[in-house]
Amino acid sequence: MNALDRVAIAGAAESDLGRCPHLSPLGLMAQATLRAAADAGLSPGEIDGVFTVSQYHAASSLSFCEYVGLRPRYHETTNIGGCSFVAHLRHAAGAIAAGMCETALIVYGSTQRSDGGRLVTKSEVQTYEVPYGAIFPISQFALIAQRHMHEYGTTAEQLAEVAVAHRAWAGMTPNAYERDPITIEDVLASPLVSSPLHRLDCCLVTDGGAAVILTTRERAQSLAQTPVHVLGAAEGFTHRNIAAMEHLTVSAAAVTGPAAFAEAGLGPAEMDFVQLYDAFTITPIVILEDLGFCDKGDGGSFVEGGRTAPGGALAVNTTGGGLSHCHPGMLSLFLLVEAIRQLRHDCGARQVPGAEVGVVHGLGGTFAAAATAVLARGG
Amino acid sequence: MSDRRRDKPRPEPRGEERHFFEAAAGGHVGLNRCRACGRFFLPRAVCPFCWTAEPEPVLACGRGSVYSFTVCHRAGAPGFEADLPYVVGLIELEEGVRLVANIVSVDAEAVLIGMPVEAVFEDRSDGLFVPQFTPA
Repeated sequence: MNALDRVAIAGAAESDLGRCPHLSPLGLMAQATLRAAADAGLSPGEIDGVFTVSQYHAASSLSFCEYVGLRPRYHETTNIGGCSFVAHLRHAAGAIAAGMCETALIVYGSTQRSDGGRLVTKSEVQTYEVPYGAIFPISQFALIAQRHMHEYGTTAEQLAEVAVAHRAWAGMTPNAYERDPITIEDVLASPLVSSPLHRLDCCLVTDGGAAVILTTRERAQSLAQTPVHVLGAAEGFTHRNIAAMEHLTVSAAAVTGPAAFAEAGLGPAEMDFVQLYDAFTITPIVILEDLGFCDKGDGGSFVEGGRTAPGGALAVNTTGGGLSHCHPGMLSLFLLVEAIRQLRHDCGARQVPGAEVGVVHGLGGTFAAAATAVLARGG
Repeated sequence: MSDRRRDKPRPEPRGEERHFFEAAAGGHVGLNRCRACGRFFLPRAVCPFCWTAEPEPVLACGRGSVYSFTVCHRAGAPGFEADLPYVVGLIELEEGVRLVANIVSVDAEAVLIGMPVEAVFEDRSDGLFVPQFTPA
């Protein structure tokens, strides 16, 4: 039996989001953990596996477990960038299936908005790239966007469509950081930061935390929520430094998407929604191509005309994502929480009607790593 | 008065990585070439294509083309404020290796993907030289 078939997602929650000067990163992680445990209907003391990454704590699970008083028998701090938490989902399934823990917590928190409104990172000096003044990580994604425009004729207007669509979803999300509608013209009129990316092509910098609890299928059946199942999951990697990214317009999603869909026995056409890592407006375009929602190079035209906005043919980032809802530095756990809520039919005005299955895709670093999970509403 | 060149971020090369910066001080782009498969790459102790150990330190020809680029409209690091707007390029060398570097001595609006470029070497003071690129 596949490890994924033995587990279910039982709890999910966000901490306070946006500006949270009243809590530390550990405080936000603890708040999200209590909310996720309450959501699942279990005691935090039942958590015996902790999966976390932090940009604040070198031994992040130790700092967190001391803070909240947990004594897990399984720790994991795999850091492959912002997609780490989708990878943790797969790793936690393996640990539970192997009997190394029974109830796994995946948790994250950051106060990068309150800390000065810039990306907080423990990233080391990149020997061959640091002398050149690239605006990390904006310039690296700008190089990708520029190349995509060169190879496929993708336009600044098409990039802007992504920001406009995600902002429209955020308008229906009560705790979204930016909720006022914007237009393509607004995006193009915002200052260029690193061409071709304007300020409104770039994600938010917010505070926030999130937590997801995974346990055995049997245990989940007796808990409070409709379980969410993981039908397929995959991880991939291409590079660390942008100069080593072989095809600047093809990410590791081109490997993880097909692998996760194959494991799930489903394809893009069967997805009720997509939650993907929208660090910059170029990333949804590349990810939708790589996951197979359209052909390589067609991502720009695919997002035109509000196709991924509310009322469009494909619901993408139904909270507003990193561009408009929240982006506390590492996004994928927030995408996972929203996918779980959509599958439980808990999303109010932005609910995708009757959502039964969806895909979550995270990227790590500068499109360096990837993790994909196909999730379904359990019975 | 502070030396703006000294304000810019400085790499911390160790071991085999020093070849790149020692070569730059001598006016060359320093790479490694695998003794078995012949492919070029940035200095490292093993070929990442065929895993043969102890690649050969070599000097590249210094010519290449712009694979991609971005114009920075705010300073991404200390010391770059006076350069605004400046170009960060992704340069594909004739040896097949890509490098991040600034594209200098050119109007930012004139930079194009595919443009031929050649290496020039910028003195960042205190013995540090870094490759930069300019239209060939």
